[in-house]
Amino acid sequence: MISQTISQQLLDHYNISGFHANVKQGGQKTVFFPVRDGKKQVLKLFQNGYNDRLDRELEIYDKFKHLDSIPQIISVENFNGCCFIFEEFIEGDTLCDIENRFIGQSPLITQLLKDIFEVMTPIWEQKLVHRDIKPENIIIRENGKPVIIDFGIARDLDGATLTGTGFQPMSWRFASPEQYAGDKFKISYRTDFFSLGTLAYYLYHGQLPFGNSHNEISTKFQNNDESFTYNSAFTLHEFCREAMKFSVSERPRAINDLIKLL
Amino acid sequence: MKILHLLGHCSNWNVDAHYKNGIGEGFVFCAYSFPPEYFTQKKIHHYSTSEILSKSFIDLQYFGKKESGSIDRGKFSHYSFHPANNLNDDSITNVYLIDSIIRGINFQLELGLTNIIIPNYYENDDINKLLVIIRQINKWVAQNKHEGIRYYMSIPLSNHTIIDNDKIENILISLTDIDIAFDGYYIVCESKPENRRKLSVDYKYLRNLSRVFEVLKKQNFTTIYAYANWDAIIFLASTDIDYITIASFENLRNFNIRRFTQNEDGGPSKGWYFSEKLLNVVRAQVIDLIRAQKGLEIIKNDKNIFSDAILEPLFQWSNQKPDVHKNYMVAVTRLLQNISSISDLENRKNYVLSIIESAIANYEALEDKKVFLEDENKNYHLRTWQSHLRTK
Repeated sequence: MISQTISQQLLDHYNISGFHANVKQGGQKTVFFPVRDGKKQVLKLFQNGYNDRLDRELEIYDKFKHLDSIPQIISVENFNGCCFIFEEFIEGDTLCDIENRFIGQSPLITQLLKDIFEVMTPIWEQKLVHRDIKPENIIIRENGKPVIIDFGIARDLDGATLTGTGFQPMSWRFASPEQYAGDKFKISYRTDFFSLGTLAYYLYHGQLPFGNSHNEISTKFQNNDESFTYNSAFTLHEFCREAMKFSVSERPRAINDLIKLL
Repeated sequence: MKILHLLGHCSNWNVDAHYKNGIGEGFVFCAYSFPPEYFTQKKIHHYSTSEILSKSFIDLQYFGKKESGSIDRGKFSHYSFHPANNLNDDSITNVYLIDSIIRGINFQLELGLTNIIIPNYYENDDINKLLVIIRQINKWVAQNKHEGIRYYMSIPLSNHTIIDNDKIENILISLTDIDIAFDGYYIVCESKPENRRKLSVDYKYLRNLSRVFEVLKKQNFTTIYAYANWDAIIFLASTDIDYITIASFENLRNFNIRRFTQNEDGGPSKGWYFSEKLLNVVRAQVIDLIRAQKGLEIIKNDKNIFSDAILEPLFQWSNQKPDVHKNYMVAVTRLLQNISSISDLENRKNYVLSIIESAIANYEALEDKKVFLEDENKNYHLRTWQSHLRTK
């Protein structure tokens, strides 16, 4: 099967009557937005078939299926050698589509972060890390509550690692120094803290704290230059300073210690 | 900050210093010198055992076991669970190591101690082995924690480790992980001073050990700096360390794994005069020269009866006399307490910089009197301390 198309046979088999949004192409999967039995859903098609990473993602969804702040898995399918999952479609806006609303709005960002902490705390407490928190992976429901999606590169810190030494999957804009360095030993829930600090800064200022290119950010990390400028009205600078410590061990250990800075 | 006496040879000096002179707030008994039967007698050095144990810790000193099959056993073999009893290295498995640690914890609980130092093994280079043990013991403590008991995990840091930034960061990440159940850490660090030196002036050692205390305190763990020499001054300058140990003899002031694997006798010595004004020791043999050059006031400790006694012209110097060691205990305690009484860390750092500056001036004053100190007596450390603190 070609990654960006779905065969008529499959459409018929699963009662897909059409699509409610354009297809999205990710690193290892293609995401379709089918309408099935009159309901909007998400269909994730994995180019390389069923693998350990998908297995881990499914485990996470299963472990936290009681939470309404991460998507529910409807079914895992294997059809004609293709591996794909049907997932709940979250009605709402992706944070990246509405990020302009947050510029200069500390109280709005504070509330969003508190909600994200509420979602992520039980996940971190189970020694899991998302590793890819960014506006594209946060959907804001109509009631304003965030849903965290795409646990595709999440890591179970008690489980075996799926990445080799020297490489860490990441989105460069919100990634931490340990992800840039490819240091898998240092990946932890505090890696997500760093991304949340970066997200808070980005939403307020409309730009990233340590540079606007992969190279600029990488240079700051390598030079251990933790300085960043911020608008004087930005009330979350202390939160950002602690969450974005380059040293993992210096970021707050207790989740509540970081929440208190909001 | 509280002072604890790390007890070994001639522990009566420390116990007396505590009860008669008010020095320190408790004791750490080192298993090498005290068999378990020691704690079942009614009195320890004329004081009620239960009274002493109520303010005591026990360091079971498992350090030497993995470094060498031929551990120097001291009183270790009196402890049935001590790994020193198992000299057949081939039989040592991780299960055995964990089991002996748990039995060490249970021994202390049965003795009624409320502060438990969890014994741990020394790893020269491979920190992953150290971290595996810590994680497993943490899991056990999380499941078996007794209310009202505080658990301090021993963290023996080899010199190889402490001078390696990346290893230290990896250790700190593990020690401050989300599921850590320990109340704090008992930090034991191998300083490895150069020959004819008492203190390490390795900048990486100073920077990284400071960082260990700073990060653990920031993450709300209780910190105990064990086997501390008077370079505790520098670490206390930048962090509110909770407990610092003081001790009479070198083996308890300068952690070195060799002392647990080989029988090392310190040999005869006339002893040292610790001067709070030089922030250093002066060999007994040099005291007469300083006196002759009318320089005693430059080095003399204030309000210290032991100092007064040992600076008398007819005092017969010997390392086996208690006053020599009690002078150190009084002087170093006063220095540490003065530092810790300043709560603002920036002011504290400036205060320590000021006493370092005074000590440098005192060395110069001695030289003006033609007294040129050598080897470990000279000022080999103060400029490094200044640089370390000023660059923090």
